[in-house]
Parts: sequence; C-alpha cells; structure tokens
Amino acid sequence: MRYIPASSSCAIVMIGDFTPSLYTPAWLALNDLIEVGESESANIENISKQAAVFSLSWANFAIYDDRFQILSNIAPWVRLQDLTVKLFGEITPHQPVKAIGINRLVHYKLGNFAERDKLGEILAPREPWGDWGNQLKNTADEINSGLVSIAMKQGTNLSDRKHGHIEVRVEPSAMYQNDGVFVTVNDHYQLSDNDPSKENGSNAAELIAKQFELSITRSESLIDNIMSLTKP
Amino acid sequence: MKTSAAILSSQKVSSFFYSQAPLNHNPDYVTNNDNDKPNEEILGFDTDISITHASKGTRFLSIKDPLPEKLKFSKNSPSVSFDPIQEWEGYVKEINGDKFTADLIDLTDPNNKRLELGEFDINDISNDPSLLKEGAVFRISIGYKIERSGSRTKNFQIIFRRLPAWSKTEIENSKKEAAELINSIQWD
Repeated sequence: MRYIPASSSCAIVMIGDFTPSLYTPAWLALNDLIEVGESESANIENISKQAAVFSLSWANFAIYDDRFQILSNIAPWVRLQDLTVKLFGEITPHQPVKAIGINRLVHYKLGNFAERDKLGEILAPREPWGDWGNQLKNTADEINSGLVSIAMKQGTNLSDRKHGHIEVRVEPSAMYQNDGVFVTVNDHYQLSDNDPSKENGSNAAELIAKQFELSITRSESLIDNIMSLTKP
Repeated sequence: MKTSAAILSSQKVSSFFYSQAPLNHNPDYVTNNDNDKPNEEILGFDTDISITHASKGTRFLSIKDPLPEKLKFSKNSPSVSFDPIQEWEGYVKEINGDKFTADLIDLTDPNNKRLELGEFDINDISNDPSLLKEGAVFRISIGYKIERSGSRTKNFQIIFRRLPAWSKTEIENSKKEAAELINSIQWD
C-alpha cells in the first residue's frame, strides 16, 4: 500500500538561446506538434520578444530567451518527450541548447501533521541538532517546528551522462499546507563540456529520446522510496 | 558548470508542522499576488534546470530578466492532474467502424514481454482522433484523475503519439541490429 499522489506533474526544461516569439500555439500546430483545435483554444498569457507563456489543456509552455519549459499534469508523460524531440530534432535542430532537465513533481496528502512530521524526522532527525533539537519538538498547542526542506544530490556514478546530476528534494507542500509533502526530482544533463558544436537542438532531441522514459522511471522509483518511509 | 543561476523565491515554506495562511498555490504555474510578493534571492548552485519551487507556487524565472507580474504563469493552468498507475504502448492493427484493435505492450512491468490484444472505442481517444490509422502508435494510461479539490476518480487516457521521424542514429542502430541478427543466423 502506498500513498496516492494528490497532484502529479512532469516537466522538461532546457537552457540555451531561444527566440520566444517564435513559439506560438499556431506555429506549433503548423508544424504538427499540437492539434489545430488545441492551438485555437490555447490560453495565451503573453507572446512577445521576451517571453512566450501559454497553456493547452494538457501542458503549460514558458519560453524565455534563455530557457524553454514545458510542464504537464496529465499522463502519459511521453507527450512531453514526443513534442520536444520533434521540435528540436526536426524543426529547430540548430537551436543552441546547453543543458536539459527532466523533472518529476508530486504532492502527497499524508492525512495529518503527525504523519508528515514522522517523515520529516526520518529524513532529518532532530537528535543531531543537540540541545536545540530538543526545542524543536512540537506540543499539542503549538506545531511550528520541524523539517523545512531537504535535498540529496547525486553527481557521481552516473553512467548515462558525462556531466549532470540528479537531485531529489522533499519539503512540505504549500498546496496541502497541513499535511502535504512535495517531492521533486531534477534530472539534469549537460549536453557537452565546453564544446559548442554539441550544444544544439539535434543533440538535445537525441538525449531526450534516449533518456526521458528511463529518467521518469528512475524518478518515480526515488519518489516511491521516500514515500515508502511512511504508510497510509 | 553553471550556465545560469536560478532565482528562487526565498523558501518561506512551512515547517513539517507549521500551518500557513492560505496561499493561492498550485503545483504547476501559479503567480503570487501583489500582496504576497516573494523576496527573491539568487542561489548560485548549479541546479539551474530545476523547477524552482517555493511555498507560493512553482515558478520558472530567469536571472537575466525577472518577469513582471503579468508575465508569470496563469491561474488557469490545468487544474486537474492525471497520475498513471499502469501504462501500455499500443500499435493499431485494424479499424472497424467506431472500434479499433491494437497490440499492446505493458510498459509498467518490464518483465512482461507478452503482446496483448485490445479493442477500443474511437470515442475514447483523448487527443486528436485523426491520428488514428493502421500502424499508429498510442499510449493507454490507467490512473487517478485528481481534481484541485482533492477528489479523485479512476480514469484512463488514450493518447496517440505524434512521433518524430527516425533519426540518423536510430536508422544506423537499426541497420546494425539487423546486420547482427542476420550474422547470428546459422544456416544449415
């Protein structure tokens, strides 16, 4: 038995040089990346030289001159892979892209404060904090102490990349303030080490095609492992 | 190697106990309102690809050009979340009127290599039905549809994939695999 997510998202984030005004819903539809109907019903926040920010029924786009970001709350997550691989592999293969993040974000509701604090105590016990740790105990009247945020980073033994890391972060959920936990996994890939010829859309697309689903599977396993520390 | 630094809202997150005042928070993209502006600080760590998150919402910001309020993400972002429990990849075999049959591979269980056969109603396709054709590839996800209110129901999504063309590397790898397969055949 495991907790069922209260909210679940997946995102691909790229660092590079982008032209935000290019990425309109109509342009995505024209290039067969989304449906024409989706393009027509897109909720456009802003399309300008500085930013393209809009949402479809299944994804949010935010493109600035230095980053391209797409996030979805609706599985199957592979849609993010297909769109970015087609976009950067076929349509803008020469677009400068330096780094890629494949991210998974999940909120859980644990049911009560005590369960959330129990998880916090497992991940970061109060005891090593010495005498001050004793003062971090909550009372029935006052519940205002405990773990605020914790992150663990893997930057070694990553056989699937030369440069990059995996970072997992656990913190209270602001969406479910009383009993929620927010777990994120940031799977970060540098496309090259100071070799600009490799920093392009084509290589980014190839990396995403190869790594995306492996990354999601690994992230879900990491998140499951953390959540297995507490039982519903 | 840092390509840029992330700007994170200062982490005024609640402790594992602390109950905050209600915030208009959404896991995707929600703005802070004018009365609730974060104190932004530059964190020079190299996780600049990460989705920055703070107590008041997940936001993406660039160090070069902090966005004015009007450019931040919409409150109308998808409010529903669909989290998968099990997923299959399907290949359309045949289309008959308003039904289609497909071979399915269970992606949730990597040890299950068995092909399954499924029949589906065209009306159940969640995205563009015009993508349906023989040989088309789709995903079926069974999972929980979660409303912003927290209520959830079991549901499924049938999404036809908009697959990119095969890359040169993929074609080369396929040729290599085919050659290896041919070479491995022992002729009598």
